[in-house]
Amino acid sequence: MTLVLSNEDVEAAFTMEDCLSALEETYRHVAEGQALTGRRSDVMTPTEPYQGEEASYLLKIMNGADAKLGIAALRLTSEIMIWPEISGVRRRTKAPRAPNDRWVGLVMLFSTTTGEPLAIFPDGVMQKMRVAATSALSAKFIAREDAEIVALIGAGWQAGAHALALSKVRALKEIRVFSPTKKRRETFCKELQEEIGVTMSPVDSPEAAVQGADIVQCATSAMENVYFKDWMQPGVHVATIRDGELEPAMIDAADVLVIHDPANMGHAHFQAIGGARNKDHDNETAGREGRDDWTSAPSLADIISGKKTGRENDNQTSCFLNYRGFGVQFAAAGAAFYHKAKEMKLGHDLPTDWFTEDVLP
Amino acid sequence: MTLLLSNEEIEDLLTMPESLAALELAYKDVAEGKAIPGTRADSVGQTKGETDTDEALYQLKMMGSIAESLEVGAIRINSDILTWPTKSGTKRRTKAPLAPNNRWTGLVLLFSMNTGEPLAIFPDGIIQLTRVAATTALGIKYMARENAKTVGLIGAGEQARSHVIATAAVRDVESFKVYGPTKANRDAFCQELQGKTGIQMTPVDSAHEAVEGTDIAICATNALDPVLFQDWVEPGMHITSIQDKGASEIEPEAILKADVVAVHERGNMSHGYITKTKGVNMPDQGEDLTMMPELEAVMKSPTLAEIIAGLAPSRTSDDQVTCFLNYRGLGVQFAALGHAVYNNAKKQGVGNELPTDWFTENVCP
Repeated sequence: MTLVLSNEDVEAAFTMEDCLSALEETYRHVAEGQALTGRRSDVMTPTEPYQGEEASYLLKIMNGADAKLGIAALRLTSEIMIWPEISGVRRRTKAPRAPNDRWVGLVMLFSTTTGEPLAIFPDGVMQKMRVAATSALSAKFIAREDAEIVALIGAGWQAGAHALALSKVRALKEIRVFSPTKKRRETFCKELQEEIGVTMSPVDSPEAAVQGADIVQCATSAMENVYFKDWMQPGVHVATIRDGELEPAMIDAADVLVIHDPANMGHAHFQAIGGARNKDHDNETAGREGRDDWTSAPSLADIISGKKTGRENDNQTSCFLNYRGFGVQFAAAGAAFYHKAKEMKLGHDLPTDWFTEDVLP
Repeated sequence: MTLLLSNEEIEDLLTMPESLAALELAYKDVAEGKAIPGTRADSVGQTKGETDTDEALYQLKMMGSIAESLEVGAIRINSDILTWPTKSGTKRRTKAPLAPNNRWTGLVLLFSMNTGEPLAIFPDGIIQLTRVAATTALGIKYMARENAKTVGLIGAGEQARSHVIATAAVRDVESFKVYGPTKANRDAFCQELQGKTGIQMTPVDSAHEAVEGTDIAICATNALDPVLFQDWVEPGMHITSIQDKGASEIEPEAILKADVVAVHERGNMSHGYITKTKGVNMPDQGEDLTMMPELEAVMKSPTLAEIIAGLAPSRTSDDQVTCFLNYRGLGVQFAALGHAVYNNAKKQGVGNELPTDWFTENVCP
C-alpha cells in the first residue's frame, strides 16, 4: 500500500529532534558517498496576475536518495510566485490559488529496493523543519560550544522553526527577535517562549538583536541585506537561509565559511520563458563574478562528518550559507517520518497499483 | 478533483495521429520559447533489490516542463531497478518489476499553470512508448524524403512496435523489413503488425539486410552497442535512433555521413544529467557523443524543434542523407501528451477522481 499523509500527520509524528538526527545521519552518508542529491530543476513562466500583483508560475523539482536508508525522495512544488511590498520591503511569497485556497507542494518517497512509491505527503511542515534543522546543525557543529544568546532576524514561520531547532542544539538563555512590525515580533516572542521554554525578547532594531549575540540567525523573506560586516563581533556564528540576506563583504570577512552544497550554489537549474523573472535572484551574489570562491568552501556534510575542520577557537567568526533545498534532505526526513507514521498507523492507505504499472516504462 | 488514470484508459484515450499533432505543436512552442523542454535529472545508487543478474542499481529519474499555450506543467518520474542481463550474447538494459505485484513505477503528474493544482496523476508506460515513436516519426515527417516508401527497422520489441504505427502515420509506407536477434520474435512481430496495419512486414536475418536499399532506417533497440554502421548508409536515406545507453545505436562514423543532422535537445546530449553515489558503475555509461572530438560540430546541430518550426533548414534534395538522434526524453513531451490524455479523459468522463486536497496543503511551502 502507498501511504497518503497530511501536514497534520507530520506535525503529530515528526519532532524537531527526529528531523535533526535524521539529517545529521544522512549528511554523514552524503560525505561517505552513500547518499546524494540529483540535479534540481526549476521552470518558470508568467501566469495570471494575483490580486493585482505580477505573478509567475514555478514548477520546482528536486530529488535525492540515501542508499543506506533504502529510500529515495522527490520533492515538487507547483506554485504561483508573487513579490509584494509589505511595510516598504519587497518580499517573496506564494499565492494559494489551488482549490480551497491551498498551495501545492508534495514529497514522494520511493523504496530503492523495489522502486515502489511508499508514501505521498505535502511538503509544508517538513519544509520549514528541514530548513531550520539544517541551520541548527550548522550551529551544533560550528558555533561556539558555550553559545547561549541568539539574535533571530525575522518573525515568520521559518523564524519560529529556527528558534525551536536552535534551542535543541545549544543550552540557550535568550533569543532576541527583530522583525519590522512591532506587534508581529511581540506576538511571536510571547507564543514561542511558552512552546520552547527559552526567554524570547522582542527588540526594536536589528543592531539591538545582534549586539553581544553568539549566534545570528537570519530567517526572513526580505529581498535585501539584513546583516552587515560592521555588525560582526569576535566569536559569532552567522547563518542565513537565503542568498541576499547577508552583505557579501560580511561573508568574505568570516574566518570560517561553510556552504550547504557546492553543486547547489548557482542557478544552473533554473529555466524561464516568456519574460518570467525570478525576482529572488535580483540581490543574489553566489556564483557571480568574483564570488565563485564561496563554492570551494567546505560543505555542511564535510563538517558534520569531520572530513573538514570548522571552528578552531572561540574568537573566530563563522558563517553558514543554508542556500537552496537539497533533495536528499527529503529522503532523510521523509524516511524517518514514514517509519514513525507506519508505527502510529497514520494516514490513508491507497493501493500501490494505482501508482505503478504493468507496462515497462 | 484530481484525476487518476491507468495505462489501459490512456491506451484508449490517446491515438497516434493526435499524439503526433500534440508533439508537433509542443516542439513549435519550444522553438519559439513558449515551452520549456525540461531536461533530465537522474540519481543513481546501490539497491538491495534482488534481480536475476549481479548488476542492479536504483535510479530515480525526473523531468519537469511547462507548456504555456496548454497552461500546464508536467513532471515525469521513474523509480526504477535497473539491470543489465545478457540476451543472445548481447548485454541489454532493462528494468526489474520489483514493486508489489511485479510492477514498475513510472508516473506523470500534470499541474495547472494558473492555480498550481495537480490536475491528474497517471502511469507513464503508454505515453512513454508513444512519445518516443511519435518523436522519431516527426523526425521522419520533417527530414525524410517526401516519397519515402520503404523502412528498415532494427528492433522487434515494444518500442519497435510503436515505431511501426508512428512511421505509417507520417509516410505512405509500402513495406517494412524487420530485424531482431530472436527469430521467433521478429517473425511473430511481423505477422502481428502486418495484420494490424495492412503494410507488408518482412522479417530478415540481419540488421544490414533490414536497412539495405530502404529509404528510412530506424534503430529502436535496447542494445548497448552500435547496430547501424557507416557502410550501410545509402544516398537519400533518413537514419534515426532512439538511444545511446552504452554507445549510440548509430555508430559515430555513420552519423558523420549525414548531410543534415538534428538532435533532440542540444543541452541534453551528454550523460551529465546522472548523479551517482560513490563507487557506482553503470555498465552502459561509456563515452557519450559529446565527448567525441570528431562529433563536436554535429553536437551543435539544430534541434528537432527548430526544424519543425522552420528555424533551421532540413533536407534540400532527395540525395542527401538525414539523421535524427532522438536521445533522452524531454519533460515537454509529457506535458503535451499528458494534456491531450487529460482533456480526452475529462470529455469522456474516464478515470477515478481523488480529492485535490490530498495533494495540496494549507501550509505555505
